[in-house]
Amino acid sequence: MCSSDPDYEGWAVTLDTGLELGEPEGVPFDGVVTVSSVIIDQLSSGLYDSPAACLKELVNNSYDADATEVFVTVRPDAALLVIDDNGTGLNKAEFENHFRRIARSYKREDGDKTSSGRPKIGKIGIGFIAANEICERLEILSTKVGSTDLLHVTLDFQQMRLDADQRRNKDESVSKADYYGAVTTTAKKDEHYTRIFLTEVKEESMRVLDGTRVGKPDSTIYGATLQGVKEILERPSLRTWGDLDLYSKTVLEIGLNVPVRYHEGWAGAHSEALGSFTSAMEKWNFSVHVDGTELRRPVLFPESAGRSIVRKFAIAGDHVSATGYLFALDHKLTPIDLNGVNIRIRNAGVGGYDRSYLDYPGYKSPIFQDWVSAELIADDRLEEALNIDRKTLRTTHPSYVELQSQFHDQLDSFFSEVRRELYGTRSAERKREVAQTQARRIAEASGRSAPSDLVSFNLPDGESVEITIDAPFDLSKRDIDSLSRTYRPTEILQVVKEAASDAGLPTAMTEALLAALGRKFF
Amino acid sequence: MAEGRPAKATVRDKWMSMLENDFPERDPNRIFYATLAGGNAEDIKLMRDRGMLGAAPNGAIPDEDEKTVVVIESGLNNVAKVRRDWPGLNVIHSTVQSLVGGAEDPVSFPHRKNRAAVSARFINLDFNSSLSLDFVNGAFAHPQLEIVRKLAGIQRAQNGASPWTLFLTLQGEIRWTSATQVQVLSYLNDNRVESTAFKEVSDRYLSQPTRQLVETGLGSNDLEHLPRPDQQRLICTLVPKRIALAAATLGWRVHTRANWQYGGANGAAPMCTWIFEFEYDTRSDRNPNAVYLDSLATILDEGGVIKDDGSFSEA
Repeated sequence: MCSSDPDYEGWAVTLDTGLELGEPEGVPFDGVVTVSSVIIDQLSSGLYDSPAACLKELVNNSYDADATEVFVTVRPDAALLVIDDNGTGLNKAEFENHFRRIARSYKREDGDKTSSGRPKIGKIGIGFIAANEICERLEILSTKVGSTDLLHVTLDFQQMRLDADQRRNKDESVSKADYYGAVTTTAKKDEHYTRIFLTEVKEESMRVLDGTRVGKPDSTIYGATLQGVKEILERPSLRTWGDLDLYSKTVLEIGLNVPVRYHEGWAGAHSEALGSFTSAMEKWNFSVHVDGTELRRPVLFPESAGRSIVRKFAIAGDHVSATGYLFALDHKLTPIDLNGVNIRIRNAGVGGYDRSYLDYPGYKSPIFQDWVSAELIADDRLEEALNIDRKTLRTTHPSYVELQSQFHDQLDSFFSEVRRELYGTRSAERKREVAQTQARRIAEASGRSAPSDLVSFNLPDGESVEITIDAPFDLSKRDIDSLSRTYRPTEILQVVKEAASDAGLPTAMTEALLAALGRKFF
Repeated sequence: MAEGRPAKATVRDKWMSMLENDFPERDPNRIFYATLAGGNAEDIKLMRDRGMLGAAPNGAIPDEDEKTVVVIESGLNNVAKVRRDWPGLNVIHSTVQSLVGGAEDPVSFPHRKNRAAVSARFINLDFNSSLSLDFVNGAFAHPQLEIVRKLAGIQRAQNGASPWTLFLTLQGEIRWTSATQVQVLSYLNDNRVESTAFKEVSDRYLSQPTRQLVETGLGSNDLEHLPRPDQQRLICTLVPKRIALAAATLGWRVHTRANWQYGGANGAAPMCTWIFEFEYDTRSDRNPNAVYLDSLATILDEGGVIKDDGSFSEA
């Protein structure tokens, strides 16, 4: 029944199990979450800085429960968020154990892998509490396969935030529990799920999650198919995820931090080379749908055969091991959110892309910060360096220090390769193009008396080029500036001299031309 | 399941026809349809089938249809199911009595964010419970009908004289206390005596055994022992009368566009369903009784029975 008011008995809306907000039926229980003061302090000071950071904790909980499908619903207004998974579910004993032992590594007491073999992401059981950042109340409905028990629990974060003294009655009993719930026997035996309802969502979180519907009509991934999302992310005009609405940005951030698959063909021309990364994520068979759209890892590189380089690497140190890849494009890589390095531990992302490349020395990093993207998949030892927010690492931890050092070595080496193979080639090509243009201008200047309209030039890098002379001499100030930036004065004079000679200019005219050029340039 | 029964399909078809008639002229700033759709959300499916709800490429409700429909749902599992099946659909997790700010409290108004839903152009209270009725302190207490009264007040406050329509469905079984049954009989008889209009209506619609009970007022538990169709007919008479009375005091004249009964055999629950159109009547300030009597005169105009095969026969 929906109300304890006797007048309402017998007519309340009981459309399914009859389980309704806040007044669970069945055998009642309640309790207090025992959390260390450090955790409470951190929770109250804004441990999770975005709704995405909180929601990914709940989605990762589903992964740890061996769910293969999670349905997250946010729209139309984010006043109610639902995370619905087909995982193993929780019973009352597990729930109570979970909340009795937050921050004490309860989740891995029975092994660090799930029944299906997934490495467990959660460690200290703070996932549910993370929701405290975005709502005032969390309700859980959960059942396990083979049982008709249906657990219904409500966590009251407003109460939880109060000091124990404020919640204590004169007789020392707790005035209201942090959570309260009941177990009914209304579940079907073959069902197993956990459904989490975030209610009384805070205004600020609603604004972000709802996305406020700003921007162009096509600036959202809401309502898009999987292919539609891919097309949006591949748009050359998409400079940053921030060009999309807040809803989309939030959803993409979640996608980066949970163990979902990559998009088809995400690595462009390097799909085969990076196939092991693709299959590593597919292996976990974990799908997340947000408002009807399947969520994928939002990493997509452009089709850029010949214009990009990829390197796979492995790090094997005393304190940490990792595999990873580096991707470089001979162009600005957009959206810029993919610039940097993204670390994964136990398949879950550690925040977004770190654009400092693990504090790569400042004098080097600006060179490549907008055209290199990397992922690092580290082993469990790096988890010890993971801060409680799961998005930053302790930079003094030996495993981090070692990873950082070896990653920077990889970057040094990769950068040399990129400079040589990608930018070196491009540089030579560009230099040749510029030289051809300038030589053409000079030839045009001298072409008034040329016996032939086809002139050959020797360029500074040793190559030669033939051009047609068909325009009068007219070097603008801009041309001169451009020439000056590209060549040393002596190189320009040498080219002009050779061009004049090839064109058959009389010596006097050549000398006059060189003198005039000298006055213009120097 | 009732969802799949032909009789219920006929009822839904009628709902959809009413919605379709008004849909082209809908006010873009007002919620068009608020419904207790249940976990299967059958009426939402029909709305999409009939072109009243669009679909984003992934099947979600597009932003432009944000105000087309609101689902009110109190069951957590149903909330999860509807949200999953219909991404982007506005689902309010609440009982309708909470949504209106407490059905029995006439001065408590709904929370700001909920007012839009309960002042929708069409409201569908598709209860699957029987009419809760009690006699307390000399007056009838019927929470479901108090919700209707509250809605009438909210509509008046929110939308002025703009008309609105209510679809109401209840189980047609009498599960009242003996004392309440006696009071119901007495009430109906008094009204027959006092109102020629109601006497004509009730005499035409109530079964002969029921009429006899009404006239004699005998037997404390006799109403619940009436055959199911007779119980349905009594409820089909009583409910519109009470709604007409409550609405008139708030300025609304009620046109009963459907007063149907169905089910009651082959394992199907006996049900009663109504469609009430509320039209503001300026006479209500001076003469609410005239408005009430006009409303009363139509309560059985569209009376009928939907058979198990979904066909309709007039009462």
